[in-house]
Amino acid sequence: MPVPKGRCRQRFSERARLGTVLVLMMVVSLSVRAQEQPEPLKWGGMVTTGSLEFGLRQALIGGNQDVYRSQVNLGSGIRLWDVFIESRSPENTGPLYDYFTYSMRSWGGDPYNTIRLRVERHRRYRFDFRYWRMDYVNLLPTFANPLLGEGVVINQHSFQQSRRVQSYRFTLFPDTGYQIRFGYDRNYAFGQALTTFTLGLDEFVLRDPIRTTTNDYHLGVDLRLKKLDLTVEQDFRSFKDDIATFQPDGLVNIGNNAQPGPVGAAEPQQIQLTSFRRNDGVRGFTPATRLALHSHLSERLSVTGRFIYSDGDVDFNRDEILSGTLFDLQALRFVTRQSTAVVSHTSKPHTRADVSVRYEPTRRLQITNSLHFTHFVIASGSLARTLEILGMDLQGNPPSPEEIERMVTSLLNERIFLNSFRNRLEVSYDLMPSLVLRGGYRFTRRRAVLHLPVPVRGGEESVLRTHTGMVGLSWRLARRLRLFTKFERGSADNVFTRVAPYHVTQFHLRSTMQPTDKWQLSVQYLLNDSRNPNPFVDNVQRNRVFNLSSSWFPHRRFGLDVGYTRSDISSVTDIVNPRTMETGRSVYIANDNVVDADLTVMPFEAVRLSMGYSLVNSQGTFPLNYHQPRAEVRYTFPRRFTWIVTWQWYGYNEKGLALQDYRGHLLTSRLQIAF
Amino acid sequence: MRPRASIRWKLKASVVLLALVLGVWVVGSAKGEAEASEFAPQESEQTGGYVGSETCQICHEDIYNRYATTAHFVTESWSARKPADRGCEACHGPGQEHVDGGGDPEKIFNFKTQPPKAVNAHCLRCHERQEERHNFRQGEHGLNRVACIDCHDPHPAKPKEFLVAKEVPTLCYQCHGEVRQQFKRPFHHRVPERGMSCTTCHNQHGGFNLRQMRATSGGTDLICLKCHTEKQGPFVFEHAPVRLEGCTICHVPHGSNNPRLLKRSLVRQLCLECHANTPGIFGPEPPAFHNLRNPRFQNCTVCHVKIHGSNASPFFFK
Repeated sequence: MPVPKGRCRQRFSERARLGTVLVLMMVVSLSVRAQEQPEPLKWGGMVTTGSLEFGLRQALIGGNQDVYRSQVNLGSGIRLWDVFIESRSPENTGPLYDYFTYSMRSWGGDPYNTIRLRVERHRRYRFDFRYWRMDYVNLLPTFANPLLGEGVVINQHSFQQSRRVQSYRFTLFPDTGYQIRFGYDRNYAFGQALTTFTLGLDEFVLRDPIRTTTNDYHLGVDLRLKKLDLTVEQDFRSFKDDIATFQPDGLVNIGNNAQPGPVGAAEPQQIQLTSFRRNDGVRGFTPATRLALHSHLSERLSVTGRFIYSDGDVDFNRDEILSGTLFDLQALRFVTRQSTAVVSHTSKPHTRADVSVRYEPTRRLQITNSLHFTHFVIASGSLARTLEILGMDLQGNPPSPEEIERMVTSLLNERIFLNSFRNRLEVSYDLMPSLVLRGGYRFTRRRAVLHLPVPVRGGEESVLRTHTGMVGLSWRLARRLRLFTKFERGSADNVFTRVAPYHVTQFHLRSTMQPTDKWQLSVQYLLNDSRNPNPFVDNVQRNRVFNLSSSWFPHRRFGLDVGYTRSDISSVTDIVNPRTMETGRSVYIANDNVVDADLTVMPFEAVRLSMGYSLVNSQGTFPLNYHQPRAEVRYTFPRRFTWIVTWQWYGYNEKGLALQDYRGHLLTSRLQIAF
Repeated sequence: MRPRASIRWKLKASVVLLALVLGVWVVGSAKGEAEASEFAPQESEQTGGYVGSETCQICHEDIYNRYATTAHFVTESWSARKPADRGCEACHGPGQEHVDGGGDPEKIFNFKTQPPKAVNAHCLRCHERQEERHNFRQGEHGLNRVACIDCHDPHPAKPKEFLVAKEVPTLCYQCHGEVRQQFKRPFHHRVPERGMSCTTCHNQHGGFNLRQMRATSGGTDLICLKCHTEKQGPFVFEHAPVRLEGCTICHVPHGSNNPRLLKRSLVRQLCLECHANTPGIFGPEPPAFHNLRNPRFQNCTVCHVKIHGSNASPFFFK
């Protein structure tokens, strides 16, 4: 429908007015001679500064919106980008407080919001409050999706979750000889999610809303005696998870295995779920006691240590009822109805102790020996009772009256025991004030005992003794040239469930250079190789990362920030199935190039232009390109106002599978007010 | 009408708590500056005369004005303390010789020219007594002679919290550039977006854990469980590597091209590197009917849903 001429003229005049205003604003801003920092507000002995930034974002997204939400998830609308207020009494003579700071970031609909507050009166009290809200979305079509090959685009473990965390800390007499700390944290996660239920030869997608609540309580005392610093802290964590998994009423769920087969076959189409309800209740409580001390016994000898004991308990209850036409692989009959009740309890007493002794026999030599002990036992018991109403067998024969109901009771216990000891001895020698040589040795003894329920496996015990040697140096070659390097070789001390310890070789090289006052370079090279020599599982992993970064600001009106990273990851595992003698090889390769560059120019005092580009280019098992160009213009008006316009583009492209690709323009216009 | 018993109890408890807090406050106030001696830093080795910060201000007015906006300025009001613990000379040492020498930079402690170990010793004289910094000297930064002033600026043009020279994570990227690139990947923890920070998970001043990781539950659990509380357990049926080896056995915490921050792009690749038919592997191998060529059996977590631990199924089905 054509637009009337009068309306055209009206739109043009509106745009002309807007354009005129913009031009005038630019002219005024350009005429401003210097971007002076606004003077802080002074009142009542307090000095206050702050800023406020708000504006508007428009997001234009094409392609797979679900993947965009799973990765970026920035939307359109009015936003409060940043609020910052700081109020300080330079003489510490404030009426109620000496220091106050408050900040907020990314409010108005963005998926991550934060608030921070600190109020402090010198040596009397300190109050900290923090708040996080994170929205996490996972709607990837390909992740754990067994039906992707059949054209069904659904992630059977999708979710949209929101997590809100509040943290309160109140300290009495901070920075004094003794201080008392109180703390409280609340972590609340909620949202919608999908999960799968497995029975017989099929899996069924169900709704699985998220609702977990965790409360942490802290009470601590810090004492600073003559040569001893002592901390005693008592923590409590209570956890609550109420899960109601269900299938919407009236829905006939045919599961993932939708291939019809002949009557009597083990996988007939007849398998379907017509109703499902499950209610789970999890209640956990973990008290933890911590004692920490530090003593500078002399100028050359210090001891640091801590002892921690926690004792977690979890109680679990489940009620589950379902109906449909399902198949029980043990009874070899169809199941028309099933109800299950589960009661279980788990406990985990956990002890940990760490001691570190540092001794400097001479001014150049430092010897550090650290001991770490960890011991925990996870003991659990579970009683489950399942009542099934059986139907026909594979031949179509109905059950006899005695066979109609089948009660299965299982009482399972599991026990995991870990005893770990680690000793790290490190020696550093100052060959010169600018050159430090390091050498170290790490020994770990870990004993793990698993008593798993019989359906899984019986008892197993493993004792690992690993040794790792390390050499390194830190060298300030010149005032503006520094080199850090470290080489480690030995056995991994955090890998347990593989049969033999990994042989690990690690090499780290970092260097920072400042050729001029305005130019900083940094280089990193990291190597991490490991190998499991077990004959059945020959796993070889090679990881290489190289990074070069340059930050050059020769003039306050010009700056260039560039970074490049090359990352090569390779993992090859040969697999043998001793039952079927089937062999295979699992290969994962990722050769990535990551480029990041930002150019900043100030053609005029009040105008700052920035252009940037980031690219993630990955070759190998999962090839993709991820482009992120961006641009920004900042106009600073007299003293307190800055107008910022930005553009960012997201281009996500998985090579070979365009299903998850997306592109997006994000335009923002915002105003920053400083005071 | 009398309030209910529960409300009366809460009122009494509130009054008692308030009285306790006020009592502690009054006692603490009565101590005054005398308590400062209990927090005395280690004995200073410096000798020579002290001139006071006002003398420094005469020549270094710009620096003094910046220092006056920082938390260190509070030391000026510590009249009961020794001169070695107050003002500019608390860090730079006695200034008399420097003044007598006409501003000779050799006659005063200059943080820019001293080796990092000496710089750190200066700062730690006061700041080592907080638990956060107990392990600095034997932590990675301390052992690598990263100086305090490499990250902190004691008299900046515009003071930031904790006097950091640049905001985190930009500050950390100066040396850990490869981490900056990891956060550019499609899936990453929200550090660049300021949803969290490097120091949320790492103790930059050193700690007992490897990679200077923080911990939760007093120190017995991984820092990951501070936010991801539903993974803490303990579970009735544990997935052993989660408890014995930690979250990083499967996940890349900074950033990954793979969803869920996994180390591998396909779920089965991750699982099969352990569950590959080896006796004594602390877990079963895939049963014979798991035809791994069938896409149905290539997505392990479609069936093994509660992979971090289950309260109802030893095979993590539910």
